[in-house]
Amino acid sequence: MKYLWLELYKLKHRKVFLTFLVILGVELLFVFSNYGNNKNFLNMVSDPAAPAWEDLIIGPAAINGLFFPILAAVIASRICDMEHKGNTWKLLECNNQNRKTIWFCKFTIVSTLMMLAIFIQAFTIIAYGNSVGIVQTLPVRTLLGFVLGTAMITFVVVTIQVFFSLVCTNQLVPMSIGMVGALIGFISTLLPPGIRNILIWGNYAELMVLGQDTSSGNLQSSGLVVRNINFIPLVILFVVGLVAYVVFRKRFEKYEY
Amino acid sequence: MIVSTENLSKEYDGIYRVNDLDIQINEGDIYGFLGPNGAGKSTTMKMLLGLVKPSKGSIEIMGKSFNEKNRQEILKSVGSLIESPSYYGHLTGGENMEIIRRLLGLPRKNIEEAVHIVRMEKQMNKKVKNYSLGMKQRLGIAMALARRPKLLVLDEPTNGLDPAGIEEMRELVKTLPTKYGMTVMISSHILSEVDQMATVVGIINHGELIFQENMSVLDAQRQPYIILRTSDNNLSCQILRNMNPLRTGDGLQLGALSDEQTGKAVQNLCANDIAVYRVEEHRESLEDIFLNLTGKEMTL
Repeated sequence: MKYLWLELYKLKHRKVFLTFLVILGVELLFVFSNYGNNKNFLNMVSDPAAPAWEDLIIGPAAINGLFFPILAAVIASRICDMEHKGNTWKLLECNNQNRKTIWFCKFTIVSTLMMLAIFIQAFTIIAYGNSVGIVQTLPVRTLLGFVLGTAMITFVVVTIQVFFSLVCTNQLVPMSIGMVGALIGFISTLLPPGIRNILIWGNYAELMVLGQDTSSGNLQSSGLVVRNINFIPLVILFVVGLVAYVVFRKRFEKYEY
Repeated sequence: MIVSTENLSKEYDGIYRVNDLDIQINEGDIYGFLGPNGAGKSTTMKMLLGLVKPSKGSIEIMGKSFNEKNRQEILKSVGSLIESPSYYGHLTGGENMEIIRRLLGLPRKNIEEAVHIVRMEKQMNKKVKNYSLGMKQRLGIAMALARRPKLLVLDEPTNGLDPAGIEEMRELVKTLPTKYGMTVMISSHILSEVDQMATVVGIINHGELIFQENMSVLDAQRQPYIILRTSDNNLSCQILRNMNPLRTGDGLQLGALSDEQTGKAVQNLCANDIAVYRVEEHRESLEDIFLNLTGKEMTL
């Protein structure tokens, strides 16, 4: 706990939280500013049988693939960059802190902020839905599925970003990885499920709980259908992420600066 | 014995950058660790701090075997400044010191004392990124001193400092054993710097310790000699042949002479109508000894 507080102390003047709020704010503004002009959504608001809540959930779900890799890359980079800039690895290790705690603290802070982003999104969905008066009952399971699924994918994304931000002195490398991830995340809804599941960041598209029926490879109708989140690829990704977490941490522990 | 290593070695890509080092540092020493760039000084110091794992050999610090298990415990009594100073540029000097205080769980008075030793009291509210290199070095030393270490390991602490900064650093290091009871290991490739402050010298070249003795032993090797310049150097050589003179470019070189012997030599030359223009005592420099020890391969 001491090291975690110290890590937060080191973030003084780094404006990490402000950066986090700006990026998340832009995303939420981008997503929710469209609903007011969306006639389909406005028609669904007063219809108890229409999937208005699901329509709200797919807003952030569709755009998280673009914003979350960038958000994770920026936060991880800002938190790890100060160690590279000040050449503080040796300082920390000679002063009672080992690599394991460094990894733990950095990872915990980035993960906590990303989890906070997911909760803020869920809260915004509920608040916005209530403010426009959606009459449909809130599908709590779907919303929780969105939160859990996003958290599982984000865990892997954070693991990758923290590792590369810690071992690469040049922060352009992890930032580029984040950008590539964002690109994949953004176009992932256009990719077939098998392909997007292999591409880590593409899995955000699995959280689209509303769509058109394209079974058998063809569009079956123009109406919207509610889809259950397919957790199988997410669980596989999460397990791979856990392995990556252990492997990356061990690599970092042995890394010589 | 504060530091003792046995066959300490480090291999990189099949090549031993440090090979079978047996370093011995006694309490209260200022151990000057000398060697040219790339000789293995920093690697050795990193091994002593557990930052690099030795390929073979053992390290004992303050009587305890230094290993992964007790590393943190031993390092509580070891201050260090390795290569360039480490700092958080976006924080003030005071905030940087606070990080060290929290990491080590030190009382505030330790920080105040360390800052006072390096005379940085007035700079503590300034962001470190705005410090000069000398100030950053001093902050680095303050961080190392904060725990009141028994052993202080400084790797080229005068790198990049101006002459005034070097002098200041030297005076600071010299006071540490006497005033604060510390043992200092300081590496450098600047020989004159070590010459002026070390009590024991270790010389490393191509990863091997080629010399390790008290400064007094090194001083004894630096025999003084007399250079004479006269109106007739060849004739002077003949007159003083019982002193085994050596003819040099524009004079003659005599061995280590006492004041009386020097006086007699001059008197003798004057009695033979030879004018003595110059009598100079020279002493072999540390550089000369180094070049001899390292087979004149050293880059100085």
